[in-house]
Amino acid sequence: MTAPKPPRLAEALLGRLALDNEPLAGDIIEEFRRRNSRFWLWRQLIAALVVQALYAPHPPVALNLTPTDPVVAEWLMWRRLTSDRKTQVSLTGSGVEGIGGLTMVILGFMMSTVIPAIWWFVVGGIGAGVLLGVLKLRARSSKSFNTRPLVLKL
Amino acid sequence: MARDLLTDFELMILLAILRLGDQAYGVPIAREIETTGRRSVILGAVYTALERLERNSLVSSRMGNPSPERGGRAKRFFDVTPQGLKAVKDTQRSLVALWKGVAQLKGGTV
Repeated sequence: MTAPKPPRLAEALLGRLALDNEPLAGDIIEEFRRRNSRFWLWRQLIAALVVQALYAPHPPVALNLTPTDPVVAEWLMWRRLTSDRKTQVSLTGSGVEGIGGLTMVILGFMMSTVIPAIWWFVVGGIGAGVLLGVLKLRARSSKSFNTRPLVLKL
Repeated sequence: MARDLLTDFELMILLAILRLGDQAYGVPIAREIETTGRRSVILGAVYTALERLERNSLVSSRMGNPSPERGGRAKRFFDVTPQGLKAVKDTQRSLVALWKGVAQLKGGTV
């Protein structure tokens, strides 16, 4: 009999957890293979990530650099230094102010590699946005219809 | 300064490590508390408590070798230090002292 395998999203999260606490990630996998319970796995994994985020000692922000941090750092610096900035038009096809289109593509690629399931949230977000827009348009049109001034022809 | 007395969870963890001997790492510690202590355990919470105990020099740890059944991740073994042993004894003494003379707890089972 083969050992049960955690779902891909859980594996990706375990990989993230292992960066901070390798033995804990190993313990969760070992016990999951014995219990073979996805409910147990998700309960332990989510709790471990929350506990890790809340209580684990973190290095000072200045030393806590990740590959995307220079982009964010530059953006924050730019926001701080340019006090009289005006609203700018993004010519790079990026929806996020200060982050170029290429960075968005790289981020998208990284998301697809590490957590492919996250695209369901993106698609869901777009769908919800479109739905909200349609509802607002409908509400606006019906409101304008209702509040149209009544003209009495005598 | 470290606290003199342990919380119930810290006490259970230290006792589990003492019972397990040199095979005390996350999974057996949690299992020991679940079976003997009869309470559900979150592994992340066990590690948080163990790290706190290590900061207070009540336990020490050493890394083992990675193994395939753990996804190639290493074990972290824990030992109770002499200070940890003293903390367990002090806590036991305090609890036993509190136990003594309580009329409701005398005789029979609840």
